[in-house]
Amino acid sequence: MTSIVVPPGPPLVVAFDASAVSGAVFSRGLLRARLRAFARVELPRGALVPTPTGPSLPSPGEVADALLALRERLGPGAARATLLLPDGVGRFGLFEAPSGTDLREFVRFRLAPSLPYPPAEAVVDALRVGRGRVLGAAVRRSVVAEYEQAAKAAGFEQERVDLAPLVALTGLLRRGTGVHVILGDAASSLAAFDGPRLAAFRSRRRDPGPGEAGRLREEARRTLRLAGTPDGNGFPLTFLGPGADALVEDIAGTVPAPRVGRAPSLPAGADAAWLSGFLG
Amino acid sequence: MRAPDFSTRHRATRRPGWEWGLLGAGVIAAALCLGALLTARAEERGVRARLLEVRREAEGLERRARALERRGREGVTGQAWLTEEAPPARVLARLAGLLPDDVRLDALSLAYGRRLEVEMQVAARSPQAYDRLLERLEASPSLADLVLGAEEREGEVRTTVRASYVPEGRPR
Repeated sequence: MTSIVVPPGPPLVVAFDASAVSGAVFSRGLLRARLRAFARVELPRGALVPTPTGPSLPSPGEVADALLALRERLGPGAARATLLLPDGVGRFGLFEAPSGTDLREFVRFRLAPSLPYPPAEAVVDALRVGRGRVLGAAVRRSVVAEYEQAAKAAGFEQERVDLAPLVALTGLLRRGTGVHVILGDAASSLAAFDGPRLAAFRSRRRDPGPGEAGRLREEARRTLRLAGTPDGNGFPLTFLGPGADALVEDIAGTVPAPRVGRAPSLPAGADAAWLSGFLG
Repeated sequence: MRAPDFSTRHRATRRPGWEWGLLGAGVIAAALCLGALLTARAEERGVRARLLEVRREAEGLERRARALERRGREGVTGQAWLTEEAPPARVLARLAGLLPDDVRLDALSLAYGRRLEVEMQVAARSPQAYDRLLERLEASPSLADLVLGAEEREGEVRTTVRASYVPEGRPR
């Protein structure tokens, strides 16, 4: 049961991505959650492929083995978990929601034409991002079930299921301003802010390799234009997640603008973008 | 704020009454403490919004004046004037702005001639949403000679609406 008086940071989070499964145990601080333990277990190449239509886990056994190892590393008591699905499985849309409407049904209606599968197969929910504004997301039910079954096979008891880019965005809503690139292994999401207001949100497949930093910078510029925000001579650009350091160095070494920054530092090895969403 | 949940199983979200009571007391206390501050801020926001609105209006008028001067110099008339004043992207943006949140535009056809004929295929979540759409279309100075297609008033409404598009500055 959701509780008002319990702080928002969940005690245990298990996150999936193409290269690894990772987990974080939180303790409840006075004002915000604290990271008590973090572990990451690499996956064999091709064991997990984040796609919107599925199947995402061609080798569920290998993923379950990695989850068992992760559970062992996180220590005793690590069982009831919030599952985070990777960037690349969900479809997103930023909407003005009419008051008094059923948010999930409204988001389903708006996202239906863009889904690559029948809308009835979508699990839909929304994150409130401002007064009357929501970021809606849809994931195919069969895709969610794959991750749920893998977690169950490893002995995790499921608390709820969330999407990694949505959790990362929760942290960004407190910061605002500029364009934030939330990096996942297979896809990245771009959140453009007009001051403190989320003005656009897009998700794109990653194209790693030489020149990726420049391509992401252009995507960021396109996202700003989509948001109707003039990009001028430079705009604050932030990378979060694995590989952020290299991208920042790449851009900073080639062009004077846009301004480039990184998310606040996290514990060694814990560079997942979603962590900042729980830690604030 | 409720955290999103994409689980395949349904989850109950009922909360115990004492939590609601605690939350209510907290909200009232916070409201009392911040009342004066919020009032001042609201006033400031109002002034800023009005200022912004006036600036936008002024910019719009300036752009319009420049366009009229340019047309006068170049002698642009008739269909050419129409395509310049109402390119598809601008028409689409204007029509999208008229749609209520629970109505979507499935298809749009534009026919440029002496007039710009618009044909929209729309889908509304409910008859009420469709009625709101019609009110907005009828009230819009950008549209004239509305012709409504056949409609099914049970559940989702899908129909075709035809109209003449009137660019800014041209009489209806």
